[in-house]
Amino acid sequence: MPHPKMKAIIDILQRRTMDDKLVWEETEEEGFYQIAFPRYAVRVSKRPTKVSGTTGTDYLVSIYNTEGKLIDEVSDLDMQEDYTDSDPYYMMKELYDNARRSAMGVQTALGDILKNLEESGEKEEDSGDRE
Amino acid sequence: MDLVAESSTALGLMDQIKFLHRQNEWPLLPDKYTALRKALISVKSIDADLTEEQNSIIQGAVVIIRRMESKVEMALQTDPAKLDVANLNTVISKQMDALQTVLIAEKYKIGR
Repeated sequence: MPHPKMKAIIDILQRRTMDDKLVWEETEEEGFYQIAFPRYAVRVSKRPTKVSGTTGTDYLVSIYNTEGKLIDEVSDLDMQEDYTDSDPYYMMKELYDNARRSAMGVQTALGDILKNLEESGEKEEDSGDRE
Repeated sequence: MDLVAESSTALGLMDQIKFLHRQNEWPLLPDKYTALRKALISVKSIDADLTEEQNSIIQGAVVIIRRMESKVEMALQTDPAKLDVANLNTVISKQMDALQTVLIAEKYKIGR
């Protein structure tokens, strides 16, 4: 069964998360990341694949309503029909990885470390000039 | 109903929940989660002028608390000792910080 609206949501979430326009948060469940909107919330997660006879990971996107109830959930396996020119596995893996980085504050941490390294480098250069 | 009072109730319940987590009082927690969710939903319904960001903060908390409730309910049937108190309380603390911003903005708006 095709999921055109879910595909659109996944694509927009992926694009806007990659552009640092959306801030995800950690949840009570390790490895689950959430972003909330005024009336709904979206979570991304992963699990061991349900494809029998193989090992690997399925990526999931879940939608929760105003009361916090799960109302819809798809895995990359469910989205095969919707992604004719790309692989939903890689799209949803990328969304998951970027949501995790957002929730963990990776960009902020990297920016801070970079700034510290640059500042300490400048100080070393200054002290080198004086010697 | 009063948004400031209802937000304060929600924050108080979050404090109680963190305490009960630390005390491993798991059977007492499902009722507290339910009360907290109701308080959060009330906060949203009281003020139609809440910003999108404020509504999103509350919505996020509602989902987290409901999932936490399910997690604890399931653990009560197996082994609550496996629940990670530090992680649960870290998540609650983040929700408290976020809700506090809503409360402060509302107090500022009404000049309290």
